[in-house]
Amino acid sequence: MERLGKYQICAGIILFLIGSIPLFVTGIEAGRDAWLVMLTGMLAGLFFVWVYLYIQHNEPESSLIQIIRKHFGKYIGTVIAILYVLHFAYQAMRNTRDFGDLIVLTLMPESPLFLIMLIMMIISTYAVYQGTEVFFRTLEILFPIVIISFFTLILFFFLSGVLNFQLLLPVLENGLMPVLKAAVPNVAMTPFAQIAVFLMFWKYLNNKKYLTKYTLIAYIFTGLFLVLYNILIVAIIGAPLASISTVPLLRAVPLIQIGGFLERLDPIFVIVLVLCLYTKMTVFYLGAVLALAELLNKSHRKVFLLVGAVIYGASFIPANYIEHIWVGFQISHNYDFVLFQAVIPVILLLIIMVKKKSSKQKNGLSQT
Amino acid sequence: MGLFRKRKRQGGKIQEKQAVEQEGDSLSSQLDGNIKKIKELTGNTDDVMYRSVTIRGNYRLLLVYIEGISEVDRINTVINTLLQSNENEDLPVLNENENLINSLEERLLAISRCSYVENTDDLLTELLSGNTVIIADGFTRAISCNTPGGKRRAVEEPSTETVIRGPKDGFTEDIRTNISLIRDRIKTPDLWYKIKKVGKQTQTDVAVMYINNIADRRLVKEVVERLESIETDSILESNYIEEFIQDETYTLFPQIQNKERPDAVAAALLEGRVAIIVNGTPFALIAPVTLAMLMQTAEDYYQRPLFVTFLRLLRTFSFFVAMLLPGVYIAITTHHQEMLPTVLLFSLAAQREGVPFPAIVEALLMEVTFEILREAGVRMPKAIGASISIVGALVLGQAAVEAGVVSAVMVIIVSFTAITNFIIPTYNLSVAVRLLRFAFMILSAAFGFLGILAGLLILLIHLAGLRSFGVPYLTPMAPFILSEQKDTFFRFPLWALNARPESLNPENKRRMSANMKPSPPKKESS
Repeated sequence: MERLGKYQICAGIILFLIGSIPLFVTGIEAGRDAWLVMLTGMLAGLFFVWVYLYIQHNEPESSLIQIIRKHFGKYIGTVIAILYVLHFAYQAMRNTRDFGDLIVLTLMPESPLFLIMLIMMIISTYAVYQGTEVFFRTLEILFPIVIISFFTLILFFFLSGVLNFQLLLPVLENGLMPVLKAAVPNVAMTPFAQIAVFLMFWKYLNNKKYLTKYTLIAYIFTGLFLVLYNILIVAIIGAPLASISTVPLLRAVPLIQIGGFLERLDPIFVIVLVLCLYTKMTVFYLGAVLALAELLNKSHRKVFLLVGAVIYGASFIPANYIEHIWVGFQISHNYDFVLFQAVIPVILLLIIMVKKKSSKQKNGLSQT
Repeated sequence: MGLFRKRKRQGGKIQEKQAVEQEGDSLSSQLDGNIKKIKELTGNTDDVMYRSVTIRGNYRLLLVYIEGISEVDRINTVINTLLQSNENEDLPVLNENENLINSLEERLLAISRCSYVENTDDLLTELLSGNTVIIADGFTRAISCNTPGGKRRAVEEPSTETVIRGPKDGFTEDIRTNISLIRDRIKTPDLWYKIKKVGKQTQTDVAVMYINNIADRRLVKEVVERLESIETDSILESNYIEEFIQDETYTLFPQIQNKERPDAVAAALLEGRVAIIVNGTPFALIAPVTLAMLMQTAEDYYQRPLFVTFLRLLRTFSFFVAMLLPGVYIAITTHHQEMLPTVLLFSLAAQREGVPFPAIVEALLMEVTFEILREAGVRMPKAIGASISIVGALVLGQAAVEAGVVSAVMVIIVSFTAITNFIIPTYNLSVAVRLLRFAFMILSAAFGFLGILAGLLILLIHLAGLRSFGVPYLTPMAPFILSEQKDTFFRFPLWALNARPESLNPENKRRMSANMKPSPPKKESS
């Protein structure tokens, strides 16, 4: 069986959680308090991380699909498992579209969307074909590249003097409620509770005693990084502009000018964004493939093309980027995420807890 | 399908035939009969020599050897020894068959290794290995004396891996010399090797060498098993072995390293790797190997650590430059002009003004020209080498720019790329980079930076999926192994490299005692 190391899980979670977030300023509904929204979302998300980790710890060698089928019974379990396959595929499709539109908007304005997304699909499909172990190895290499690039970017922001922290003041102008409203459930659900997909991968960790520790390290690191990201974006371009621009980061990056030579760095940061999107998309894609393979009891190399074709086809459904984003924020946030990342896992958790309790009571009875 | 079956059946027949041959006939007691048989089997070849000697008046002996692959001096010594037994009185009774042969063998043992031969097949094998076979009239058993010889190249400085500091001896074509060069360096009884004959026709000696209490036993077993599974006619160079035992064929990247330096092989053995030495080539194989290893040289451990770290970073940088630079240039000039500072952009545009081709055509033109020059430089007679470099540098470089066929920047880029390519220490790997460069040029012409990124990601996934004898190719970066970072991009001082690579699963993990950091003795205050 394939095995993952602790660093691989850690790098995977960080890149996955960063994912498409730098494309937007999450929580900009609360204006200049967006960073507080992110912080609150992260803290709220911790509850879901606890739920997922509890489920995984209960059955460390099983994937989400196996756990669901075990606890929900054969029929309901299979239906829910199929829904999860669709959910993962849908998420993968969303990221594919994000990627396509990002590239068309920034790097290659004249290239057709289908070609750009096809490139993405080919890369991801190759990674999925090679399997979990190989894919997470690639993340281990990408991780330092992405992190070093982001921190270089932050350094450049400081060096070029575009930061104006006055823009963050006053904090909590309208009280706590707007922040809480923006954070829960939206920010808690994306990106933080999306970590649910790792229920498909945690079972591959070679030493389960690192599971909680390294997941939490990765989670909190990403959370704080995203808080810092929100602070910087608002401090550079201000909340009003951040809330109306398509890709706020690419408004901020061109402001960097160092020594008259380092300028127009946006293509480089588009590439960094692409790496994060690639990770997120492939994690969902691979999750869908593994889930389907387990459902059908076949090797993942037999189903990956089918899933890939579905994802690629589905990514053309939104008519344009605006519709795509609107669907994402309105429908996905309110129904899809809540159902698959909160409702079902919590029900699963309750079932497991009840079962545990009753088996304990039985043991207690038989002992007395 | 039918065709395939037919061929298979024929193969079966050949195998059966060979099996019959392999049993061999036993020797006859008639000397003339034996001579006839040898002549028949060797096609009466002219270099098979027969010298007859008569001892004690009536015992006729025949020495058979092949001229050129055996050493005449040693054969003469053998003959001398045989003749001496003429005068020797205490020879045992001669009318008992075995005793003559036995006593001769005892006598000959003093001067060389001997063994008995009882059938024609063994006899031929001994002959072809350069040994001398002594057949006596009236006996069905012959003696084979070890007299190999022939012209061998002396140990010279390796031509492919030169160093500034470090040993200057390299492997030769002779497997015994090569093994002795390694034995000279590692004087432990745990340095084990097994020689196998591979190749039905060539019967090439192939040695699998490892250090018994260091190398992982499963690794040794795997290497030996893969070697034993080779069934082929001929092994003429170590690449013949490499292509039969490597993990993945359809890749540009070598999964087994070849080395011409005995010190490098010794170092690999001491890390717990396995070496395969093939007779007839100065290139020994080392397995398993990682990409990071292919970017290192033997000299990395003979120079100061900080400098070596610098060199390794330089090599990594060059690796990417050699692969990507023309691609990046094409991407910037065709898709992302806005990235360049304005002044540079103007100067580039001014240069490219007179050039009639798009950047990709220009780049392909220059790169292909350079590749042709390079291949011509390797193949052509050494005497005209100088003239080609003049033609290449002046005519194709300067004149092409002056004629306005290519821009000067392109010439700079192509030549810089070429030079960075030479920094990659392993030729196998630099070849891979050369080919990938063309792929990246085409990708960047089509999709700009996105194409380069897509290419790099595909390459990364491909590399992450490769294995060399079970060890992932990107170890110790992916999977990340903290302890091996001391000797990957950085080179820590030797006293800090106290553990063997974890990824090799060595039987014996520690290289040295824990606290080897040198510290000068404390001076007593006067």
